[in-house]
Amino acid sequence: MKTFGLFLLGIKEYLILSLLIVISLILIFSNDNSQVRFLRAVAVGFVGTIQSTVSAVPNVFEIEKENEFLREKNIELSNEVSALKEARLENLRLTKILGLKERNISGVVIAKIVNKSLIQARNTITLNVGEADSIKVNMPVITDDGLVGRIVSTSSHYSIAQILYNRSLSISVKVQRSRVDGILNYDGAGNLVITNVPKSADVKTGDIIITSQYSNYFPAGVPVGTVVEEGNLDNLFKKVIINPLVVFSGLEEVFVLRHLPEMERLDLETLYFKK
Amino acid sequence: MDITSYLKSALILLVLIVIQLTFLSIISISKYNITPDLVIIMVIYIGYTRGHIAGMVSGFFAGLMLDILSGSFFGLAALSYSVAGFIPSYFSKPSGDKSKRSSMIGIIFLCTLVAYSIFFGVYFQGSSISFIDIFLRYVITTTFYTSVFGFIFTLISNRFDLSRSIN
Repeated sequence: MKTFGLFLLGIKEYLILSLLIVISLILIFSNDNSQVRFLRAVAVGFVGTIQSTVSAVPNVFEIEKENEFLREKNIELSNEVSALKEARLENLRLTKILGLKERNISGVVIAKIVNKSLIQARNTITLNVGEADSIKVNMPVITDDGLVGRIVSTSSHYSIAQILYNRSLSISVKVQRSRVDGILNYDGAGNLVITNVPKSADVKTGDIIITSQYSNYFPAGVPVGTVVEEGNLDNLFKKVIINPLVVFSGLEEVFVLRHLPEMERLDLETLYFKK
Repeated sequence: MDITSYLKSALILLVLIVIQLTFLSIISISKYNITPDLVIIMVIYIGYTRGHIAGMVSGFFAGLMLDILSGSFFGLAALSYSVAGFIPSYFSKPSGDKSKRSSMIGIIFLCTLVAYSIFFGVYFQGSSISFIDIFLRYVITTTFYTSVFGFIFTLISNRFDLSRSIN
């Protein structure tokens, strides 16, 4: 026993070292204890307070490097500002596009007008997007200002759209303010006329005209134009003339809405009216 | 060695811990914020002058304090500092030996190397960094930087006979 005691005394340093290592390992493995977390939170708070005070003193080795970095960053930011200025006009246009997207439930395809065919009352525009861009017949064509027309023909990379100033195009519309319904047509004489409006209907000059929910080809609520003239057509109906919101003369870009008529509804209505 | 001597050592260690955690970041180098370790120098010195037990006990408590105050891996500095405090006593030479002081830098280098190999080896467990990377980026840089300060410490120790003042 005495010999064992002497042996232990002889290796006491190693025993203490082993003990300390074991304690350290226990501490390491108890890192997720709530007590440890609390202790650490207090310690970090304490040290953080001191460190935030000391942080005012600059790092002597890093200060030159930091200056260099800031100079480079300054040049980089200057270039960025310059690029942003360059893109300003484009950004304005894109903002309009985004605003338009928010108004519509369908996706849009941006298209350039490659040709305008203004023959009498058959006004059409040719777009540089076609079936390859998922463009299909009867899709509405709009701009950020309002309704332009409807796709009537497509090829792989091009499509033709009737515009409002086309006699073949009839659109179910309504007065935004009073919800009065009517049918919009081009009269062939330079006017966009809303017909089927009862004489007693509440329509005033300046009213905004939008597409109606009765239209199967166009989504409801797309702005079309403003009333510029209203008068009596006959004893029963009014003649309402509107000015389109889209300025067709300067039109260069349009958007094709990926909105298609509900075929089931179309078929049913066609079948009914054929009877 | 009486209780006053222990208190002196504890006080010095405490001051060094506070300096280590507050002011040493001012002289940090490289993007990995490598700082010299003043606490480990003191622990090694205690181990060298007073033996295994004093070295490793002071290392353990100093490491524990650093763990608590730094908010890092709890218990890890205690483990590595205990080992760092245990090793130097193997190289102890009789007092007055001229070669003693010159070998101190080598001892600081070796003990710091061992301690930080343990520390960073465990600390970076589970990360994508290889041990070679850890060794080159953290262990060896900290060891060298600490050794530089160890050299300064040795010069001061030689000039003022620090072991006597602590004792």
